[in-house]
Amino acid sequence: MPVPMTMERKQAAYTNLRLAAFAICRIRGTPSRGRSTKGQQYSHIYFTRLHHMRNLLHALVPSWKPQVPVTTVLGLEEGKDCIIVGTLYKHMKLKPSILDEYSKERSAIPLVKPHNFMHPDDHLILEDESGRVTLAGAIAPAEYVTGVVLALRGKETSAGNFLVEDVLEAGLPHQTSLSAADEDKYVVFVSGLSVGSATFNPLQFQFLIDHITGHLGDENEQSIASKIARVVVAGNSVHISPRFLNGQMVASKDQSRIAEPIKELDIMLTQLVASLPVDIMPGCHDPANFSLPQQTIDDLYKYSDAKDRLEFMERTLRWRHLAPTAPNSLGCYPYTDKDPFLIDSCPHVYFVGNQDKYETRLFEGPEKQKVRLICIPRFSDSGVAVMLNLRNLECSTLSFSTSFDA
Amino acid sequence: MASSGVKDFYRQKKKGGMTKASPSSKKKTQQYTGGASVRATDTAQTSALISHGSWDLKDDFGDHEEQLRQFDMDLKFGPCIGVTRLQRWERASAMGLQPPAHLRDLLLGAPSTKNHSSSGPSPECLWEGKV
Repeated sequence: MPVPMTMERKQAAYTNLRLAAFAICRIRGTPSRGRSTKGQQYSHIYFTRLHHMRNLLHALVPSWKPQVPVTTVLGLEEGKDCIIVGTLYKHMKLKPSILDEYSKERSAIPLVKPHNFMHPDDHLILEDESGRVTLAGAIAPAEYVTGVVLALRGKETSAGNFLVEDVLEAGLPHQTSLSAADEDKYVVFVSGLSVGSATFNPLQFQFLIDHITGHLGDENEQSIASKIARVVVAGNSVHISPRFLNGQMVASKDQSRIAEPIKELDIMLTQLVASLPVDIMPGCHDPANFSLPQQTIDDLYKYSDAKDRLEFMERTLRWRHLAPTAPNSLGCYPYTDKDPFLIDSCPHVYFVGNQDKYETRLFEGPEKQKVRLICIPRFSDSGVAVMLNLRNLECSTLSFSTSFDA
Repeated sequence: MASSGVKDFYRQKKKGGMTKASPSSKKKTQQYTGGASVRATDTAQTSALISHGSWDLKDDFGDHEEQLRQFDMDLKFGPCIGVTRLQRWERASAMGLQPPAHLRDLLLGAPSTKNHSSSGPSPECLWEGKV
C-alpha cells in the first residue's frame, strides 16, 4: 500500500501596512456641554485632499507645460493662457437630492432609482479656496466625478467659463519593486459568500473550503492547494434579512434567527482558519461599523462611464484616490487632519469584491509600475474564487459547481 | 447673524463712558444671542466683561485672543469650525504651512474651556458654540 505523501503548506510573510492610516485618533467630546461627538464638517477632508494633491500637481507642472503660469481661480484673466489646480465638482441633473425625499410622499417601497445618474447636460466645475469656474472644452464630464483633483491648462472665455485645452492627472505613484520569489505561492480571494441568503449554496462553499484545506482531489490538486498561503474574504460574507434591520421590534422567536448566518459563517471559517491564515473584510451588507467607504467602484459606475469596471479602477489609481466620490455620494468619517484615502504608493495588487463577473488586467504605468487589477465576482452567484500567484502576479480562477447539468 | 453683535467680540477701546456703553451693549448682546443658538454661558460672558467695570483689564489677553482669531480666519490653514485651535495648528504644521510658532505656545498655556471670563485665550475657534 503506497504511503501517502505529506505535504506542507507554504507560508508567506504578512504585515498590515495601512491600519494606522484609517484610525480615528481623536473623537472630540466635551461632556460638560452635553454632546457626545463634535460636529465636524466634511470641509476638512476636501481641504487636506486639495492641499496634498496640489503639492503633487505643482511638482509635475513644470515638466508638463513649462513656462505656463499657475494661477488661482480668482486670479484668472480673460484670454490669458494659464494653469489652474482645483477639485472637480460635477453638476448632475439626475443626481438624487435629499430635498426630493421631502417633496414626494413617503412610501414603504423604496423609490426606483435609475441605475446611472448621467445626463448629457452634466457639466464640470473646478473649485479651489478662492472660487469656482465652469469648465468647457477638452474635458469630458462622463469620465470624471466630483472630488477628483486635477491641473487644467486653458484660458478664461468671455462667457466666464474656463476653456480647457489639456488635463493633468497626478498619475500613478511610485511603486516599490516586488521582491523576487523563487517558488509559486498563492493567495485566494473570495467575496460575496452571502451566508444566510436565498442564493447561498452551503455545498458550494464547503467544496471551496475542502479544496483549500486539501481534503479534495488527488495528489496533484492537493499539491496545488498546499501552495495557497492565505485566504482573503472580501466582503458581504453574511446576509441578514432586511426585515430584521429596519428598526422595528423583532419578535422573540425571530431573535435567535438574526445571528444564524453569522454562526454558520463561523463554523465554516473555523475549518479554514485551522489550516491557513484568513483575512476577512466587512462589506456593505455585513454587520460591521460603517467605517470605510464601501462600493467605491460601484459608485463611480453610478456617476460616470467607462468601458469596464477595471477602467474605473485604473482611473482611481491615476487620480491617486481610492474613493474620490467620498464624502459627496459615499459615506465616510469626517476626518479633520488628513484624507486617508489618498494613494501614496502604487499597489501591486488592487482588488474589488462583489462584482458581477470576474475580470482581470495587468495595468502598466509610465514608470514601469505593474498593478494586477482584479474584479472578484460574488461567490454565491458564480461559484468562482480567484487565485493569485504572488511570484508573477498571474491570476486564475477556482470554479465550483454543485449541479450535474453544467 | 446680526453683524452689530460682532462688535461684542472685539474690545471697544474707550476711555471711560462705561455707564453710557452698558445699556446699548446689553441690547446688542440680546440681539446677538437671539440670532445664534442660545447658550447661557455666552450671555454671562459678555455681561461679565461689562459688569466688572473697566475695559482695560489684561491687555495681553485681548491681544492674544485677537491674534488667535486672525489665525482662525486665515484661509491658508483651512476651515476652522469643528476642530480646536491646537488641532488646527498641529494640522497646519504637519502640512508644512508654517503657522506662527508663538501661537502654539499661547494655546498650550490656555486654561480649560469652562473658564471664559478671566485671563487666557480660548482653545476653541471663534465660532465655537455660535454656529
